[in-house]
Amino acid sequence: MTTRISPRDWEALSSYLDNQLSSIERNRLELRLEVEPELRGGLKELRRTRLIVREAGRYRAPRNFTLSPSMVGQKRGTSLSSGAYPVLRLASMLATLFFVLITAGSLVAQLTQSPQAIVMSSERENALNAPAVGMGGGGGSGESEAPAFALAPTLEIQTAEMEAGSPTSAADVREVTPLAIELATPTPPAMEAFAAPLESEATDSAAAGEEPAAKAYLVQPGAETKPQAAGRNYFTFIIVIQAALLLLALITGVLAYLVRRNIIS
Amino acid sequence: MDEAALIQLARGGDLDSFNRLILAYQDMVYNQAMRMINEPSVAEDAAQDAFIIAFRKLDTYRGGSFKAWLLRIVTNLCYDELRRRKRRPTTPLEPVDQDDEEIESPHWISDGAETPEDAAVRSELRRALQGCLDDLPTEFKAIVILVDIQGLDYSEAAEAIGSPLGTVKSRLARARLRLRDCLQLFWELLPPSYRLGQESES
Repeated sequence: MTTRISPRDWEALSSYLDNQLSSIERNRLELRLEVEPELRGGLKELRRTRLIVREAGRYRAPRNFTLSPSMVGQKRGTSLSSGAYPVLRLASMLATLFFVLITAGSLVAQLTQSPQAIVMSSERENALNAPAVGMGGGGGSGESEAPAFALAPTLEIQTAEMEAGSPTSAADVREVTPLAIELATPTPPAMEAFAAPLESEATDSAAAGEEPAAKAYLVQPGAETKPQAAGRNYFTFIIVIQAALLLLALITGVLAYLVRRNIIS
Repeated sequence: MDEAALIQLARGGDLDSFNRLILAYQDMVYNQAMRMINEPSVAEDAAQDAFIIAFRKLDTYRGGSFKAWLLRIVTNLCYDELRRRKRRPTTPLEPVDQDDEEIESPHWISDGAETPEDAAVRSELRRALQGCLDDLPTEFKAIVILVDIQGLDYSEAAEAIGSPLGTVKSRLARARLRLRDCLQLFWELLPPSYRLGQESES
């Protein structure tokens, strides 16, 4: 067997077999192979050995080596599930919590506000009744002891009272009207809406008769006071917030469920 | 979906994408382990462990040949196993038949498509080759399996063993020489085509 081939030559022959030599190295080796039979023999031996090894065949996997979540320490559900599920669950819980809190707060506010409103209404009624009786009974002194702020917001109370049959004459109405306009100056838009028909209709009703003139005190549908408008805006805002929270809670809850069940991932 | 996309998804924790990569490379990884260790159950464990490690360490994969990266993991596991065996040598269990007699040619290396004679020769040759491979130093064995059996080029093999290209060249040449010498002992097992070539030279 060939023994005079150096380790360096064996390495060159091995690389030559695998076409891993540079063109210069290959040319040099090929020139040597033409003139050195021992080197040629060594190349053949290596080629044969390589052929035998290559023909040894490959083992095929006896089973699939695919991984399950438990094998790699993953909980069931991957990628989106692992990241999104806690976020969705938290969002759903928070939305539900805020919805409950706001609903409860709104209910409590309504319940506590109602008795106050009754008390305030009765106070205002008393404040209005005093000058009305004085004006109606005393022939209309024209002086009112009621505070100015009490008249403007409680005009509807006054009109309701008159509608219910208060013995106020058309003449009294004419006397009250300027006072009402004058006292209600803090809320000019409301009073403008109120005063314009009031004056004309009161005059007409004075000419036509007595009691129908009281209808002039009915508040016009579009003419509400600022506190009323603010209150209504407030409740509208609360309802919108409640609806948004409820929607958010439902959507995130359903998404969390779907992610948890791996229906979406 | 291409390999890079699957790797990217697997990096994000997508086990399904990684399992698709496993299906593509499991034969190669098992073959490497089997050739290195030559014991099916241990090779199975090595292949399975290699994939588990690969999934967990996927963030350390810095591009290049994914095949070479996987082979590096399984080859290192095989080194560990072979070192362990050297410290505590054991006698491998040969398969036995119903009468507790050793089976000469284990059924798992037989090829059903061959004639019985060819199958017998081939299986003997495989046994001889595996015996020669087992006699090689671990580093030589790894490189000859990577290049001549797995078909990696030198740069991929260098990646797989984590050594320079020059080391691959020299180790491979020395491994082939040792295999040549070893296979001379099984001369009578070689098919006629191999023997004729040898005879014509001498």
